[in-house]
Amino acid sequence: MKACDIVVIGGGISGILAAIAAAKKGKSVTMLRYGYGAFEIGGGLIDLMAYPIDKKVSSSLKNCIDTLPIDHPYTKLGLPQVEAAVEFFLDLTNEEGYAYEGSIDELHWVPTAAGTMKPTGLYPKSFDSNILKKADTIYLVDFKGLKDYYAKLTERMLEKTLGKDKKYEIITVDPRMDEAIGGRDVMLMDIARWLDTKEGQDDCVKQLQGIVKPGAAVMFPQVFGTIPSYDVYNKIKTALQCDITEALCIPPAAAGMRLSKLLHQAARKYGVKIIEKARVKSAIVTNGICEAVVASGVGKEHIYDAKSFILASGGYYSGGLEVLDHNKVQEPIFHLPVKVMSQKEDEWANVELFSNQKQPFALAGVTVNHEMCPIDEHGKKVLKNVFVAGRNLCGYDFCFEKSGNGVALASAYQAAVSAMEV
Amino acid sequence: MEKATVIVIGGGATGVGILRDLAMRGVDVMLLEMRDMVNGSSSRYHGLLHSGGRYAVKDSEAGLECIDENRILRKIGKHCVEATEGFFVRLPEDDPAYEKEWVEACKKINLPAIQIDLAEAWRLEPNLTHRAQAVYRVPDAAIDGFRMAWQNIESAKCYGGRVKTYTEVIKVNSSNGKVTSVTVQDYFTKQQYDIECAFVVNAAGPWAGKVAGFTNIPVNVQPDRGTLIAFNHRITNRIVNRLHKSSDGDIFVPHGSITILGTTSMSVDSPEDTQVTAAEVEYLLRIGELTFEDLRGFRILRAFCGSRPLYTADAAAKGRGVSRGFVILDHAQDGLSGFASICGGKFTTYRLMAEKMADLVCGYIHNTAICRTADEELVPDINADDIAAARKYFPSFGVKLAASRLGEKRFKNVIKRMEDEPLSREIVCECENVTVAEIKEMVKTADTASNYTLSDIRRKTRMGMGTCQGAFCTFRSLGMLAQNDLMKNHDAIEEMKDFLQARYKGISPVMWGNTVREVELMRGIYEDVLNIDGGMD
Repeated sequence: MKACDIVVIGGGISGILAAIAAAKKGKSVTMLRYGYGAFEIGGGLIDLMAYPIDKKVSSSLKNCIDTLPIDHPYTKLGLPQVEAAVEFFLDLTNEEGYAYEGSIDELHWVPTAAGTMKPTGLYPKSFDSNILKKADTIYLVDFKGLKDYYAKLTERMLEKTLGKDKKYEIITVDPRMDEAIGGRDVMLMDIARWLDTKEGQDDCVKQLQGIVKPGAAVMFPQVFGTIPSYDVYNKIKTALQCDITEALCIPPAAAGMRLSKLLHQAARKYGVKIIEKARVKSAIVTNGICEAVVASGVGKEHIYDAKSFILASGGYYSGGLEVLDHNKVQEPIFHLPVKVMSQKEDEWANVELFSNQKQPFALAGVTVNHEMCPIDEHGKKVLKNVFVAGRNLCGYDFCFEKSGNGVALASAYQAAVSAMEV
Repeated sequence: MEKATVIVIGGGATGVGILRDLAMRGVDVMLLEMRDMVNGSSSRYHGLLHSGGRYAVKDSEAGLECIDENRILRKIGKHCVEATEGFFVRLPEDDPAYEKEWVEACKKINLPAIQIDLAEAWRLEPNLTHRAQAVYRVPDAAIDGFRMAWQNIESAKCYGGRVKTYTEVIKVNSSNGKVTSVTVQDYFTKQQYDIECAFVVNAAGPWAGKVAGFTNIPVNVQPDRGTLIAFNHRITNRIVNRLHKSSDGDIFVPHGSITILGTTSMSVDSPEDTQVTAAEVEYLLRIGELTFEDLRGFRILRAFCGSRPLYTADAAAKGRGVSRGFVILDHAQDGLSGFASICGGKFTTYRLMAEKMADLVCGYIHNTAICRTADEELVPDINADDIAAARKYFPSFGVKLAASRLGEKRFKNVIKRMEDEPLSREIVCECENVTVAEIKEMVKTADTASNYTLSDIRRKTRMGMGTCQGAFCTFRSLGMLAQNDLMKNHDAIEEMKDFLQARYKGISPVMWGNTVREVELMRGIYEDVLNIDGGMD
């Protein structure tokens, strides 16, 4: 008798989504994690797909999924399964009181702190570039002493993106953090936490009300609280009688923290058991079946057994994939087959950091079938009860395509479905 | 028309040395650099202040020059030299007969090479291979090429020396066989204009042949590419040389928290070819791991390469061989007076090279002042009050570094700014502890009127040179420049791309281990989140 139905390895977005998906269906799930994923880097959006082949933007994931290479996780999953995953996610966020919007049918554009627009798929409604396009007057809100957001830079570049015929005005709100200025740097998270409080919200609104004219568009850095709720957004929007939006900023991202909190809330609700500081080192395998995994905890090793396992240990950033040398990549826990697209040593990385083609190193990863079950080069299953989700899959370049959390979501959902069938 | 008695072409070690030397002799001198200062060979090398040990056997004259200059630079340049000392280590694969020859050669040039016990060597350098057969201590030192150049310039400016960056000489004009002026072009605005002068010094390093070509005088400089690897660890506290006939990949030099391994030697067509290949890195690692077995376990920060300006005199050359190390060509012998080129040489002997060139120039312009560059310190010591004031704002380990990279005057300005404007204490580059106040100061004292790049700020402050290689400070620095109205004609997105590409250039040949994680973060921020390169609808 196994201790639980499913063990999930990894605490990032794909791990926790897979855990919730299975637990919601009544499975007993244990999640082993060492880190917290990239929630605070990516910014809480679920990018689905914008640049499938080159830097020419596609109108939606639905319209381009057939053009993707055969190794791409979306190609393996197929459109209906991706659609099911998107529905699962939208329902989940709705149930948890912070409903995401969007679909596989269209791209949604989000303003950034660099004055550019970034295409995404599923998003909190507080991210919206359309309001900027529509408006004649755009107010850019900055905060006194704030590091990592520079409204003058945003304004300068936004003028390039949206044109000079709009009126741009910068307003600097004082978050009353004078004691911090010059002592330690005031970060975006400080402002977001200030706006978590009623005093902060009231103060911010009061400072803006006199200046902002109703009907204009107001852009903030990513600071509408750290809690998965639209309270801050609604309050400011209503008080100012304006359309408002957040802009994506450099990490740490408050919206990523919101999504992380939302998913943890759901995971707890559905009874997912989360083991912290559990770094999975190896697996115990007999006859192509994984019996258990071995994790180093505090002071000693622990063995976790289960009927099936979901590997969501991430890619290079999280250590789920390790690069030993150019074109030599390993998955360090199960030593699953890894496919590397480039062959020659000097083809491992493009000459240009940003170019019109995907980065070969980014495409390397674990090969799986449509069930997200790892397979060898002949297509044969390597481990029958292990399924893979997220960044350690081969065949996609999340930065280039803008597909990171979308692949994480869809593969996690499928991995959970597959794991439940074992 | 702008005027200077002497124009020096080239902002590398030799050029700044000549600038300082002439300025100190009271000559009205202006240095012109086509890009930013210290952008060529002088910043693309080990940062090794040779003791002369490397040349003792093959070229005792060069060895002698090195040990003399080494002693001078330790004295005048204590703010850019780290007196680490060096080891010469013989491994089993190195010829024991060479060791004997080397010991004798060191004696001949009066270079103190002291053999030490192997156990003591391993105690001092725990990472050193236990396969070592013999170890000698020599007075090698680490020298910061950027800092040395800035300090020469600071010193020269005190004596009236002038510098123009992003000012490329495109023509040397003459009349009746005498130089009269140079025509230059601004890199950013493409505007062309003339600067009147009586003498032109060609100190363009591997570009010297191109500069001499403006006057149709052949100067045979062959760019010779050397590749190096910077590790994100202080693998060794001392410089470690292999004790064998000088070869590739046999020198390790520690600088602050990093270590540089080099180098290779390969003739190339253009000194601007500075993209390192993965094969070159692998080649260096294979040699390097003989000396430090765990070498591959250390994270590589980046790989880079530069071009040595090797001079080959052909039969027709009328060069005066000042030493085997370098050569000064007085082009009066080619029929054009008031024009001279300096070729070859090595970083360690830059001051001596500058002295010899300044002697030639002064003879021509009838200046009888004598060289004082060996006697006067490059920059004065920072006074204790300023250090104490700085401690309030800088992390303690960063105070001395900031003081020496800024120089006395700018250091004072930066502290003053931090006192007056608390917001300027904000840290832009956390890896290297570079604040808003410092970047503001550097931009305001830039040597180019028309524009500047983020890489210029990097070279002066070390912004973006640490562990994260620009992942955070690229955006922040542009933001603070915009916020403080210090942007000129910059397109912020293009500037971001250029700066990140320059960082990536050194990273792409070493994409494994933790280096890949760093790139993943960099791409995550700029490509994924900010979408700085994607097409928009």
